[in-house]
Amino acid sequence: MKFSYDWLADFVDLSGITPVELAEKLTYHAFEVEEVSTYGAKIVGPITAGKIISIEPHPNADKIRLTRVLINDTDTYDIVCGASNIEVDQIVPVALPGSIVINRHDNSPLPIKKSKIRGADSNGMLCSASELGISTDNSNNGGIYILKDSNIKLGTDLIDLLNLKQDYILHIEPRSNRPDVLSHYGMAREIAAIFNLPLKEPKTNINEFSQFQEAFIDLDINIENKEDCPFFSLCGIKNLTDINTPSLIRHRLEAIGVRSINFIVDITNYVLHEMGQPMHAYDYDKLDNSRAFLVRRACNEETITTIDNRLRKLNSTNLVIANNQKAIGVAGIMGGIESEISNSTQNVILESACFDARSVRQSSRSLGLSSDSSLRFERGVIKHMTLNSLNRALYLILNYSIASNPNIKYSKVFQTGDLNEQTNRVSLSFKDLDNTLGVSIDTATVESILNKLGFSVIDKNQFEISVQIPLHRLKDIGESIDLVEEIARLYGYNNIPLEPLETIDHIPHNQNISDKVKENMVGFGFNEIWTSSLIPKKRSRNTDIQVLNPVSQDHEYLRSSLIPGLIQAFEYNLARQHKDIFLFENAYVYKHDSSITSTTLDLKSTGVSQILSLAALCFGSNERQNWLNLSQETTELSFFRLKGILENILVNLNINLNLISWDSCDNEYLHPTRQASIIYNDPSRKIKLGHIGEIHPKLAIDYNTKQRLSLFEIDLDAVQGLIFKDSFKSIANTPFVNRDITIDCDTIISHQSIKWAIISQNYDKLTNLELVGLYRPSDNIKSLTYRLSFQDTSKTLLAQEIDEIIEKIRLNLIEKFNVSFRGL
Amino acid sequence: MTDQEISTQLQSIKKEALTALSHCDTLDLLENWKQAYLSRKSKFNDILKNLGKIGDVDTKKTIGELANTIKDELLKTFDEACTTLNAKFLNEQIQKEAIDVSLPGISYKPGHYHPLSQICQNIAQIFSSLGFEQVFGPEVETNYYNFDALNIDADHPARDEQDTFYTSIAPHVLLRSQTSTVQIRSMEKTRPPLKIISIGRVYRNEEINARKYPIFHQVEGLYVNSKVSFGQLKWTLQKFINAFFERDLKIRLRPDFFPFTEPSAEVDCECPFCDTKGCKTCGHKGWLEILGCGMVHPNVLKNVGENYQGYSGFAFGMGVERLAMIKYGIYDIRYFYNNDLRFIGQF
Ligand SMILES: [Zn+2]
Repeated sequence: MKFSYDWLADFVDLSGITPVELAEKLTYHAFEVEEVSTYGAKIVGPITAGKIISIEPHPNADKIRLTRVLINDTDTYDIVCGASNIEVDQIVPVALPGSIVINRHDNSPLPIKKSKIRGADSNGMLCSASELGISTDNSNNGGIYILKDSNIKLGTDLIDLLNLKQDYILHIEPRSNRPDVLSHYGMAREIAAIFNLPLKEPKTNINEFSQFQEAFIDLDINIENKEDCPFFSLCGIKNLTDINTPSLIRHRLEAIGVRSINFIVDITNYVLHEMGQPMHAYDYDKLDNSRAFLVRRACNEETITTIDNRLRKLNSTNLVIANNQKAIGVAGIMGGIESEISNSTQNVILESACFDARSVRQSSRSLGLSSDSSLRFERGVIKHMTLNSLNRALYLILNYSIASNPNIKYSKVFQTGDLNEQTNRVSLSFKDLDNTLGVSIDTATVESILNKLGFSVIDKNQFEISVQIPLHRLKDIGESIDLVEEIARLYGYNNIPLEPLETIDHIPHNQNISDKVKENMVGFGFNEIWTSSLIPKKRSRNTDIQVLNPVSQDHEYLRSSLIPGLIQAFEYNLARQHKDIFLFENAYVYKHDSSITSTTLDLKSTGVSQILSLAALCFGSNERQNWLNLSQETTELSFFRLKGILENILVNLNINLNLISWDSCDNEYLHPTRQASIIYNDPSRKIKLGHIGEIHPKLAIDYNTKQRLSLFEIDLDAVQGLIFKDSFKSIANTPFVNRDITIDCDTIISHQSIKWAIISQNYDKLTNLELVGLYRPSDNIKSLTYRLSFQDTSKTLLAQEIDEIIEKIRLNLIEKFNVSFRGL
Repeated sequence: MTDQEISTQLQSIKKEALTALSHCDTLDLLENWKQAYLSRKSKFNDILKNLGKIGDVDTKKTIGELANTIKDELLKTFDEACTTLNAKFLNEQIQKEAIDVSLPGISYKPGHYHPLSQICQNIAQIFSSLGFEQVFGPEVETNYYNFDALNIDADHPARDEQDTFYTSIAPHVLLRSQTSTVQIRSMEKTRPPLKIISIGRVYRNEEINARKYPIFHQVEGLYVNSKVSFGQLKWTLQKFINAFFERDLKIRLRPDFFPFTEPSAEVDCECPFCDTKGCKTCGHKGWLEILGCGMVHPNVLKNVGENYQGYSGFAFGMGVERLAMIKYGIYDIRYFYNNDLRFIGQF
């Protein structure tokens, strides 16, 4: 929202306070001023009203003429002028030597001095609107600005009259809880409190114009529901003539970004921005000549064309003003085009009302229409300002009209509703104040701050103070903590001293699991990615949670797996010429328990579980470019490289790999014969931790590459539950013995089943088993070489003892898998 | 044989041996030489064996001494030859094995943390050292935790569908729009005093542009105890800002409004990149807007129940992306979610 420094100064004396100082104080004590900008060019006087008394041709030039201008009762100036729209007896702005106006060619400052133009003396300049920095609607482009008011006194200082002063605009976004400052008067009230200056009231005393009052109209107002509209007032004005908006009003409206339309509309907008009260004016002659005004909810199927020239279908959420049964405006939002004010409007009905905030909000939402007016009603207008504002508008209209229009008349104010508001008192304990802020503020300071803000003290003792809340703060002040804030900000947040926290009472536990896996993954050469947890339908599963109001189709479902995000990031980078892509993400996935329906869910529960997941993707090699040509890529390397990394992660998390099995799996996006589910087995339970695999060849075709892509995803919450730290085992000094055995078996027999068949026998001297070789002598036979380590912690093992164990293993494997042992 | 003959013979063997030794250019030849001239079966030894037959003691002694001298000399020369040859071979091997040490090392390509991870870890660490315990909360939330319990009334604009994502699960189930939900959840779980920090993902229905993304991350801090003050809040934030930017920076507070705190403030710190002179990072303001904070609103404490009666607290919240953008000079929030390796590789 924009505030004019010049306008604010109407209500609080800002002399000696620069716009920048004002902005800074406001920022530290009330509202952030985001920017201070200037409005209008810097014009310097003397610029006066002068009357053209003669126009002669220039002896040496065709397009310029010699004028003589009277600038007071006696003094005349000879001025050369190139404009064609001037005539004798016109009153025009005259820039005298020493003044500075605007160069209309490049907007640079144009100093005026005595000069000779083609041999003729010129002692000043007759000015156009653009040379004075004012916008006009009479577009005599480049022509001299003709002052229409024939009563203007020659020699009048036009800097003041035309409001040619440069203005400063403060950009402030007042907070949602402070509707009282959505106006210049309201903001000035805040400034007055901060600077401890008196607040000047806007002129509203229409009794000054009582001779123009006449009972020419009798209006009848009815309100269907007082909750929608607690107060409604109207006033009639007749015999208006088409007058220009006074330059002060126009200038100020334009300065804060409001377009000037016509005198009456400009006045209603001016009052809105000055008093914070939205106003509306109807062209009375365009109404049905009915005295009956009704504030009611719209009927279904009712329509109105609003002044933005759009036909709007109304419904019962819309409050309307009806005249003779017909809607003439949407209450608090926008008027109807039929009764819109025009330049030729002669008779006007002015409306000032108080509409319920929620009602206007709902109405505005249902129409998808908001306005300066609705924004203020939605935040809540100050009830007692309704009539003041009507009087203010009336005052301004009369004040600017009577000089040129002695026939203007206004009616009495017709009103329905109650303006009285219940005010409340609040008490504040001085001890609570000091404890909350951590500084002791003396009671006199507290009282003075509250007074400045308009709180009147009702009662006071050494422990607490009771105050009455001013009417304009009823919306945001209600309890003692609200007073604490008021006192703190006027005292100055930056004047409150720092106070150390007394103790460090938390010593962090172990590194959390996320930090640990991230450290590991980065160490293995993976790059961490953060992907959107909102994913498009095409990457989602049909059980994923749907967002009802997505920002776009790309963010419509809540992910239940990190894989879609990984693949998307992979594709993004593959398209950018990366050859080796190693990615991981450690983040949450979300699963909805479908047995919980919205009817069985209590209002504090969601039925959603949030699971910490780890997923990784590897594509290509994580080695640097290998100029030694050592590696031989086989198609299986990708899978086993990733599996090895996952095994290391699990080991680093203290998971016993001997309890993990790699079982068959049927993930649709993974290679059907190159994927596994990762299962934790101990005697009491089987827990699925995740899955690993190569991407399905049919998906890989899209990547147009021969390199393999492998992925895994594991549930870290499940893993965390399995972490088991073994106690220390003493180190045996007896030697260990390695023996290699080579087994030929059918290819369908898995390494895992052979390994488990051996391990499950719990041979007590067998301490380790490792696969050290694999080859395939024929298509359906594979040959596996295992290195078995034997140790007896109490003595050196005899060869015979080892032979016995190996014989047991052999018999066991032959029985189970019909294998053959080489060399035995 | 006369002793003179023996002596001459010895001298000639010596000469022969030395000549032969000088031709030995492999370790095998050296070994053969040793066998030929110094072993038990060598000529030299044959002569020494015959010394016993010499009757004259003096002659025996003279010849013996001569033989020993020659033997020692041959041994010494042999050892020298061995040393020289070994040195030569080692040198040859060394020369042969020369590598271009400037060739690239062979290892894994380094992985990289996402910048937001680093910022989150950094923040968690700083607050941990100030005694704040890290806690986590759900992102799929209810109206109650996201709004009601936080003193955000039904008419507050933030509750509008235009700002918050609602889900298909139930009308009251939404994606949290702020991490302040964790305040309530933690207070419900734990008796005071409470000193927590929570870093997590939040969601807002906003069009994507350089400054806004529908998901982002916040840090939420909460301290509740029997007598907590605004001055302590200022102290805590001052410590955090100094630690985060690794410099002592002035802070300043401006009044602001949040439904769940009162008094509420917005905190700026001096721009560490331009010493308040104004630069691109601070939008030429000289100050950086860092976070929002305030004293926990009494209604919030009331909402969590009896355990918190008579307690007071402070809370603060800040945007992780914003802090990362400031710290690294990143000007477009979308970089964080594109996951371009050319971006991540820089951190
Ligand atoms: Zn800066």
